[in-house]
Amino acid sequence: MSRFFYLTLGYGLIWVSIGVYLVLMQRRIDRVRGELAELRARLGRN
Amino acid sequence: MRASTISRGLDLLALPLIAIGMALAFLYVPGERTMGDVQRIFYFHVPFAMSSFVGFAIVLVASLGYLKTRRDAWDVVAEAAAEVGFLCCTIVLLTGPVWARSAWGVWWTWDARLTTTLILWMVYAAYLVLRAYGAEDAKLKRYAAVLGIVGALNVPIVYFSVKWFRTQHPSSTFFTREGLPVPAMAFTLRFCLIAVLILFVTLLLKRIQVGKLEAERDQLRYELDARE
Repeated sequence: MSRFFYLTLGYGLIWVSIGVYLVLMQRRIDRVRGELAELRARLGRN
Repeated sequence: MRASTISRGLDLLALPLIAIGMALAFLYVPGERTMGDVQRIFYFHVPFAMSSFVGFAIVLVASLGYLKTRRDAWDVVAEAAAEVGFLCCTIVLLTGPVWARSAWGVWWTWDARLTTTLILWMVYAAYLVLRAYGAEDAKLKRYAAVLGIVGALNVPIVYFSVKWFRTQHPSSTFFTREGLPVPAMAFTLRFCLIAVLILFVTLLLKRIQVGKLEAERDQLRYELDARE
């Protein structure tokens, strides 16, 4: 395989890793914000 | 200045700097004589390695802070730094073999630098597994702090492994007097290091924000349980 293939693979792995991490972190933020809103509402009701 | 303003400013700064770094690595720097184009991985491989070391150094300081004061704010910072440092270390372990395959003809060899880096990665993988299973338990937070400190103590071993042992891995070029032979290479490496460190800080601040939100959620759950 050409050296350009390895270069593309290397940079591809870097930015895919960062992208996946950002997506997972955003999903985690959304989930925690949802849980916070629900807990605040329940505490308000009680 | 508020933390959210700094975080937003870094968000805006990180992407253009990374794009310029990529342009420098691909268009400005001349190809290395023996390895050719694949050597261009180096301009991001090394900065991610340095960023992982910074992350694990933050874990060390924050874990010591937690063990001394038992304040949860230290624990949140330690966990965030461990996670982002682990991400950077993962990138190092992904890009290194790609370079090795092209330069050495093998994906992996049990060389001292590679092996110590893998051990470092495994220690922090264990740290994150421990956190995932006992985030709210004070005893597990203490165990995690000790593991975080033990992991960070491995960083100097990883860094100096190329001096202490006979290795195939190139020696460190960043902090040596000789440096890189071509000024354009040295400039690009320094630029990419700054860009990746800014990206690292951006991710760290976001992760700390997640930790604070989770701490607030746990507090509300505790209050709700106490009422019911």
